[in-house]
Amino acid sequence: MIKINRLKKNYDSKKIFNDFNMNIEPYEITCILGPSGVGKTTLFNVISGLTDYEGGEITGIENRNISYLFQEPRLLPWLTVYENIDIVLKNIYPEKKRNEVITHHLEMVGLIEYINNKPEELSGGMKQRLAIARTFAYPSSLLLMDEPFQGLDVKLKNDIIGSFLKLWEKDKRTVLFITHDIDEALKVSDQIYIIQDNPVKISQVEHIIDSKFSRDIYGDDYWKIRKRITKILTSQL
Amino acid sequence: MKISTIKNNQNRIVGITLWLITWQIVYWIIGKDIYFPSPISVVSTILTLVKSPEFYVVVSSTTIRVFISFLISAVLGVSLGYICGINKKIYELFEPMMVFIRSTPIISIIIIAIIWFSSSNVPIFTGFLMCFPIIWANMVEGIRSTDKKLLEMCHLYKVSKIDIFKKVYIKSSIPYLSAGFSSALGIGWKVVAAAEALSLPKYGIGTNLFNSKTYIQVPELLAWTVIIIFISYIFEILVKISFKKIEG
Repeated sequence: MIKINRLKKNYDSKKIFNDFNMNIEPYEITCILGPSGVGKTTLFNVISGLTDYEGGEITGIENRNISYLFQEPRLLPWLTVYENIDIVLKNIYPEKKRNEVITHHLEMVGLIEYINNKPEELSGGMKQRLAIARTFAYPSSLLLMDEPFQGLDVKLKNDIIGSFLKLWEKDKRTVLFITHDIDEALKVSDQIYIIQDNPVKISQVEHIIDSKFSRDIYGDDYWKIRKRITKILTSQL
Repeated sequence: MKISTIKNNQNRIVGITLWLITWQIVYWIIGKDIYFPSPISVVSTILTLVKSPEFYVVVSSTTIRVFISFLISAVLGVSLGYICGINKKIYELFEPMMVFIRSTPIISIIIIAIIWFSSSNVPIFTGFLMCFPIIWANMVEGIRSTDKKLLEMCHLYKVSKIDIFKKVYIKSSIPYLSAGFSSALGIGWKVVAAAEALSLPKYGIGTNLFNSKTYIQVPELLAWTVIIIFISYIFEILVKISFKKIEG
């Protein structure tokens, strides 16, 4: 389990996190849901080591390999689909193993036909699927996702979430998923931490995994939880 | 694509023809070969020069000088430009020196070089001093323009430093390097010829330009000028082709 204990993080004089506590369960998808600008990406940066923090501790991530899924696919435009995954695996596997891993993950996300194409030849959705393949091809035990489905249309979003869940079901990892979109959170997460700012606090935790929630967007359960979360978020405004 | 390339080539041929016609008309107006020779007499001078065995020694001597000065500039410009591009403190150390070199008149550099070096090394030194800051500045710009998000991704996925250099920095700097190499090469030819004209090595296009001026052989003067333009153009095309190949 990853434990965040009494995290303190300031930007200039503004306290973003002050004694913030949170647990991330292993092999589950934990979502942090909150309005834009609340400090979600800061938490992502703190966990990934991109930003220092002033106090507290984060345990359970020592010596762990972490993979990342960002808002934008972050692909190298001059490399092929294959090479874009290969570059992150070069220090980890020998060539033969890399070839197997890459081929397998490209098959899983339906991009095997595009193995020699450049990212500019792919659609927006395909690029994000390639980024997902890279995330799972990398041998990590923790996966950090920073609003990776933002800005996609509904159909594309469903497709990409589908690709993500398909890979995750086959190869379960601890996931920390950051979003401000309630539907994304409900479709993907096992538990949802709803946060508010000044400084960041957890308002509520929704244990989706424990409920008999089916993720069926037409079901009553879905709308009950959605309504409850919407109420919490709007009351913060 | 092919149609537009053919059209571009057609436009170029029309452009060159128009300028040649203008040149011929100006020649008719002036009417004195000693001041302003006709394109025909320049072409016939080039043909005469090409037939002499010394021509190839002269052209290859200048080409080797340009090549050496360009190669040193490229190696130092790219490596130092990379270091300065990723480290602001080192950039600030080198920037005043580059401004100083860029602002110094070429003639001063040539005269100082004549005092310091042998006549055949003066053009190499001068060419290097002119090309190096251009390549350096373009490399710095290319490194700085590298997408920070891609670098962050590589850093988070622990991509090796060599791969980050080769596959991220160099690849994203290619448009800047291509522009820098082209303009450095163009300037390199001009500067090397100018330095040769002042330092007078035994063989060199610049030396021949100076001799043509001394003996008031204007057709020969223009013939050597056209030869420099032609070889410089060929080199520029070669640089562009090489960069296109690197870009894939």
